Amino acid sequence: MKKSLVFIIGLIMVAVLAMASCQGTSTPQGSQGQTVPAQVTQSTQPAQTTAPETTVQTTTAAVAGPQYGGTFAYAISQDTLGFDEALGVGPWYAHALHLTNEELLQGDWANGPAGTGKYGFQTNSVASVATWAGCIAESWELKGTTSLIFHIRHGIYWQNKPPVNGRELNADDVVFSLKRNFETPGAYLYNTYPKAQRPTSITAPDKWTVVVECPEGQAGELLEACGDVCRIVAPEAISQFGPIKDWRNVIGTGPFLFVDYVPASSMRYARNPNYWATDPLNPTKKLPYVDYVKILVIPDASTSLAALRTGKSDMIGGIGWEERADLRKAKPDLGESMVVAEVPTIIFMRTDKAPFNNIKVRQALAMGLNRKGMVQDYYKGNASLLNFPVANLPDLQGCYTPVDQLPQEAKELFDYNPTKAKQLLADAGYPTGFKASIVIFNAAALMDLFAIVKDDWSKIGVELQLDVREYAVWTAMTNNHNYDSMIYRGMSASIPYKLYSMRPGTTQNISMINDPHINDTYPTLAANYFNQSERDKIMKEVAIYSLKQGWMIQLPATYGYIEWWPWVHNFEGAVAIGRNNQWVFPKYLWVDAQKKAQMTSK
Amino acid sequence: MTSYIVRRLALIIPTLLVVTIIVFGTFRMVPGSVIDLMASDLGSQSGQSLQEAISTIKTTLGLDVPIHVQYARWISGIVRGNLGTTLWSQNSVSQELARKLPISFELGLMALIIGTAVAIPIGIYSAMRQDTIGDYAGRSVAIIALSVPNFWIATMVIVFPSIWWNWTPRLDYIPFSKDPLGNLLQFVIPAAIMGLHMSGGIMRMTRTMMLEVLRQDYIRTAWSKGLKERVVVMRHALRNALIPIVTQIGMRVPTLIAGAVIMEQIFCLPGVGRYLVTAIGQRDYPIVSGINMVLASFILLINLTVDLTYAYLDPRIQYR
Repeated sequence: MKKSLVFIIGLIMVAVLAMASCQGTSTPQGSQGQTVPAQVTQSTQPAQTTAPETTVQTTTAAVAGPQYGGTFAYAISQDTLGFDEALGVGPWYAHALHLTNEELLQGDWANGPAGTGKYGFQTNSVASVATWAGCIAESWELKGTTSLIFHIRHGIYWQNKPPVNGRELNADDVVFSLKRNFETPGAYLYNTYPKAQRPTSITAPDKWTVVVECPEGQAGELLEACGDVCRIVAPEAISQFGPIKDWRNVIGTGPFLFVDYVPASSMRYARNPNYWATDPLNPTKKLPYVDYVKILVIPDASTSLAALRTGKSDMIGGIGWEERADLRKAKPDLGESMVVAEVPTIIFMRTDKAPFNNIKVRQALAMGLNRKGMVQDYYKGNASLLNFPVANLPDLQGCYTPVDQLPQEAKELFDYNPTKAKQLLADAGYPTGFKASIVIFNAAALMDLFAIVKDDWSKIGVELQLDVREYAVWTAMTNNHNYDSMIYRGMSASIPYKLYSMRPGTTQNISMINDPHINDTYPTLAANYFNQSERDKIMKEVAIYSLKQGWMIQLPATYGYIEWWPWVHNFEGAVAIGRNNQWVFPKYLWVDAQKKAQMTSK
Repeated sequence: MTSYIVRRLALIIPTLLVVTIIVFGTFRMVPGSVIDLMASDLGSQSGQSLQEAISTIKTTLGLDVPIHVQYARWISGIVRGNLGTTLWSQNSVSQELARKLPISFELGLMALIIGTAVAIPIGIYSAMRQDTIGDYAGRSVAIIALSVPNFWIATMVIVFPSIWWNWTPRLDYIPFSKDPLGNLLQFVIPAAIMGLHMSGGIMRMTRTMMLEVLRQDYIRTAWSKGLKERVVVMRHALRNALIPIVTQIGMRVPTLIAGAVIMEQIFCLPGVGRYLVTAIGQRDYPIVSGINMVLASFILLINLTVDLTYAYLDPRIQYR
């Protein structure tokens, strides 16, 4: 009896302790949003004849605002890798700096979804030079064909912290940062641009002017690299601390100051009281509006969704259509933006050898796939047929052609026609079909999808074997083009003008394309970097040409969604404001703290 | 006994040396190197041919030398307490582990305490009340604890309260130094889930061993002497039943620490399990090698501790 009593008391104590660990639903800690566009790789809008629209729903009447104050919180799935871009392999390496350090240029917020809607700002790409507005650089110009001149803005001050102590930023800081990124072995720009393609010189003729001399034909590329990839750092900070490895040594000119970092858990920023910028949509209002930004590192998707539901997260990005349906049933008053897929699923094939070097075989494979059926039956209408080699983004409508407007030769490749497919195979010398294999990595969604592909192709005589590999192995195979037959990969279509997937010698030319028309056209395309209308015209033609060739077969790309609570204003789903500005958007938005308290107390 | 302990500690060194060779060598032989992954990241943004960049990356990361040279450099670092530098973030592996290991250790220890505190009393009770309703209930609890995956329970704990009660546990890690009570409370739920899952096996082992011991002649003698039940169980029976139970608990300790990946993932705890899995996917060799070294050392020490515990529990066992 006594023992039972002790045992029961022990159980009660454990239960009480467990309940005590349940913290109440007080003011939400923050918000989460997996804003990395790469997570919405399978999302696209339906094939449309007009520019895709973002669907935004808010539930309350407009609040007289913007209001200052409050905390905006969201989640990402991966921690920052570091605090110094010169140490990182990729521009996303030090994403913790996006709120503290700025670039010369940035996407034009006034023309984003919160403004005119001209640009979607859903993917980290820049369709044209007009997408940019000045940031640290008030303006820029191209002199001749090789000289980029950036005019540095007055009145931008570094954070008031030793050793920089709040002094004004000048051109020497910009020169230092650009040179560092191009000249430090292992830095992203150093790795990305071979010596022959780097600036020949970067100088500051005076305190407010930076001149970047470019090799012939490289002005466009280097405008992007210098203007919208490289973040500006303080020379004194690097001189004193060396490469920045400690978050406490981060010093910037950005809208927020880094105030706390718990590795692999959270980052916290406070408003920079000395920030220079005003709201492009409310020019009398200084930015930023929110007092704090909290970024939670939440690797698990269910936990991320739970954080949004409970208001610990103010937004979430990149959720699929299935999760979206459940979420909106529970929280119908969330704001929403449908995300266009940046990285659709592509089947690549060895076009340098039989049987894929025969256009009839490639066309047969395309026609033998019931992609419209996949959209309707597998994705329940929540997918898009065509998002490659040009993404169906508002920014790219100048060179995008919807399926129904394609020439017949290209359009018919999207229709399921197994009879014609078999005929094409027979004409190509494969009357009984052939065997092929495709390398994919071990994700459940891919296995499902390619089981459908396998089934469709079996009906036209193509026996497909799925070669499933571990992720890193698959990555190595795509990177090295080390596959025998076919391979899957998601590939970005938001920077179509560079023809990465079609030019010989590029890592993204996984189908081993070496086409004279593409090879002849690319220099003209590149030379028209600053002539957008001509650039779009050429790209449109190239895109249609490549579709007809069937070198790469795009599978339907599912929609993704960004959802946010109605207390978040001035956001409208703009998560990537330029080429390397995925986490900059908190600087523009504001939070209705009263509404947040009301809604989260229910 | 002292000489035994010294010998065992001395044997750890050659054992660890073999472990280092295996860990260092095998992981580097896995297809898909870190260079491939980095080049893939670069290539997705630039499309350029990256031979020059790859060569620079290899040199920067120290991967341009033969593997035996890399091993020698790494071993010489370990001797000086330096586990190397992470490949992706250029941070000290030792510092990263110093931050993350205590988190996993805390989670594992709390899970162990909860699991043991639940399992042993229930196991004893089941044995004492064999074939009663209490025994059936205890065994059912054990089976449920064993069969229900802890990651499922963890996901349910996160998802359903968020839907029904608008509640989730704290999702950002509270360092112990900042708020000790908050830190402990944050760990209770994931530790309880892990502990309950672990308790199933211990419960059954406890019950089985207690039943075996309770049938011994000396226990019958104890009963016939008129000793109280508590004395018979705790002083005579349990101590002899504990040896296999201690063995089982000892075997689970490394798993609790390194195998808490899913709990760390779901409850957003930045522990070493999650760190290791990410490093494996990213082919961050120094991290994987370093963690394996630390865990191997830990397992060897745990095994030694378990062996020494036998001597304490059973005076007939003597080490020379």
